[in-house]
This record gives sequence, C-alpha cells and structure tokens, in this order.
Amino acid sequence: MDCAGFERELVELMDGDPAWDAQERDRRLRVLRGHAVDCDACAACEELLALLELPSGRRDPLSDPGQAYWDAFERRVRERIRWEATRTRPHGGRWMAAAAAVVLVLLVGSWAVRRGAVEPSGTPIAGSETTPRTGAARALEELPEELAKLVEVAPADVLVQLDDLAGWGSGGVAADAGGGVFPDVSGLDGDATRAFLQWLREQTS
Amino acid sequence: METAAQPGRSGDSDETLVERARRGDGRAFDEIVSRHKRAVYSTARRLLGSHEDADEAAQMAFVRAWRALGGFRGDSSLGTWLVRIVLNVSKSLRARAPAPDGLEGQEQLVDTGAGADELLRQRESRSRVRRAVDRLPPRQREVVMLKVFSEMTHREVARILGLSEGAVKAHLHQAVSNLRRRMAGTVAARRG
Repeated sequence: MDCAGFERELVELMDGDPAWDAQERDRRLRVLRGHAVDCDACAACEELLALLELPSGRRDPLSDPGQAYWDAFERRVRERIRWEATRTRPHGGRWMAAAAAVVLVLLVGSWAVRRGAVEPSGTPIAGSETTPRTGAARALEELPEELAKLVEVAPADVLVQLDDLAGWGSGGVAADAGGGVFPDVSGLDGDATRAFLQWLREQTS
Repeated sequence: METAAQPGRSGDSDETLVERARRGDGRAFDEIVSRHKRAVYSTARRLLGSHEDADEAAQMAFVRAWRALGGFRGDSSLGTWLVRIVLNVSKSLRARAPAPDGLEGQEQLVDTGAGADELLRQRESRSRVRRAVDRLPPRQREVVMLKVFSEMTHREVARILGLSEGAVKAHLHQAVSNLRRRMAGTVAARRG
C-alpha cells in the first residue's frame, strides 16, 4: 500500500460501510496500521486510527454538565424566548427588519459580484489550503465584519431567511488560504432570490 | 445517532410536536427542547470547547428554532434541522471569539476497561487529534467533528451541512490529508 492508498483506505474506514462486519473492519485497520508503522509520513495518522478503534460512543466523551443543568434547561430557554420577545421594537420593527434584510442582501450580492470578479484565478476555494491568498481574498475578509454587525441587530426571522438564501445557516461557510471565514454564496440562485424578495414584500405589505 | 427523534413525555412524534408548537403550545416546544437538548448541546460543545460557550449556543439555537418554527418545512428531520441551527450559531460565536488552542478540559476519563496509564494515554492521544482537527479549515473541521466524533452517517452530515454526500466525502478526504500533514510534527517529536 502506498501513501495515497493509505489515505483512501482511511477515509473508507471513517465512512464505516455498514455492510462490514467487525472482522472486515479489523482487517482493514490491521492493513492501515501495517503501513503506518513503516511509513514516517503516515505514522501521524496512528492516533486517528486508535480513535477509530474505540467502541462507538467512546470516541469523544464530553463532561456531562450534570442533571441540575439539564433540569433547568427548558425553563431557561422559555425565559430567554420571553426576554427576546420584550426586546422586539414595538414600532417600525417590520420596516427595520426589511431594511436590515435589504442591506444584508446587497452586501451578500456585492460580495458575490466581487467574488466572481476574481474568477477564475485567485478565487478562494472552500476548504483549500493551497490556494494563493490574493488581495481580493483579503478584501473579502472584511465583509463578514460588516455582516456580523448587521446580524447582531437584525431580527432572527430575517436571519433565518438569509440562512436559506445564502446557505449560511446550512453551514455555507468557506475559508481561504489564510483561514479567513466568509459566507459561501455559491448556492445563491434566482429562485432563492425571488423567494426572499417575495418574503420581503409580505413583511412590508 | 443523535439527531433521531426519540419518543418523549407525551409520546407524540416530532412532527406532531412541531404542529402543536406552531399553534402556540409552549409545552410542545418544551418537549422538543427536552428531546433534542443533549444532541444540540453536544454538537456545540464539540465545536466550541467550553461548557459556557456551548450553553450559550444551545440556548440561542432553541430561541432561533422557536422563531423559525413556522418556516420548518420538514424536508429534513427536526433533529437535523436543530443541529444545523446550532452549528450555524456556534460558527457565529466562534467567529467572534475563536476557540483557544486545543479543547482541553472538556473530556472526562471514561472507564473502557483499560488501566489508568492507558486511559491517560488515550486521553492525550485524543487531545492531540482534537487540537489538529481544531486547526482544520471550517468545513473540514465540521465534517470531521460530525463524522468521527459525533459518529453520524454521511447522509446525516450531508443534510446538516447542506452538501451532497460526495462533497462530504471529498471534505473528509481533504481533512485526512491535512491531518496527516499537521500531526506529522508531533509524531516525529515523540518518536525522537
């Protein structure tokens, strides 16, 4: 087995094909261990292999915050919902929500345009650590700060709509070579935009 | 699987509870919270490290869920939807205050039948893996957290992250490649 095969097999093992029985899983682990022992480059993954060998539910034991914490959890959520409700502005809230949403859409849109402008080279690629960091990528990093400030003041229902629109809520976050994080709007399409505008009309009608 | 719906105090399904909660039934929402609080909290804890941050994220996630319940279409299970929300909230919190290097202090020693030395060795090893995972790019980190530590299936991870199963696998492959590179230094040092 070469190193590329080791990586492939390790991913397969993490996949954990449910059709494998314990023997097949052990056999695959032994093959991987055999390579890791002899290969300095892959030896680093021995600890990952050891983690995969642990029984289900034992890979990441978290300290339980205790029964008292769980007993009070629902009550604290209820109180927080009530508190959030009292924070809602009685007058002009809908217009504020709409205004915040429009600004957010414009920001995301301009971000998307700017992102498109650096295609095809120099574009930060989600999850890539090898893409060269460009001036455009650095400029894009500034945008999330503006977004973050708006997100703080925008009502939650606006944020949820934005989630659906830009994939932010579905984990749509990309990273560039410098580790900067920004919303991934690659999933932004005409239908989502129209749906959002329709929602905005309903809010403001 | 942490996102699966469990029968609760009323015995109602998640779908029924959502319908009741939408009509303003606070008890139904309480039951939703009760049913999913551990999965929501542990997802946040894995991503954020500290109990305080995980508690904040879990509370915020349920508040957002309450507000957005009207828009829940049931395309995914309620548990998957809630984990998506808490993942998003955790990401926002993390962006504002990055997690400390490593996530020490969050694990407890669990009796796996091994001796104290072995338990300590396992804990240190897990901690090294966690530190390396914590330094991965966000998407890869999420995939590894959900796949390896939360032991979810590719399909569950894909639904939570809004990706195809193929994309989850691709991110996992990239993550393994990065982890192999990042952990090489620590292994070389230990091997001396």
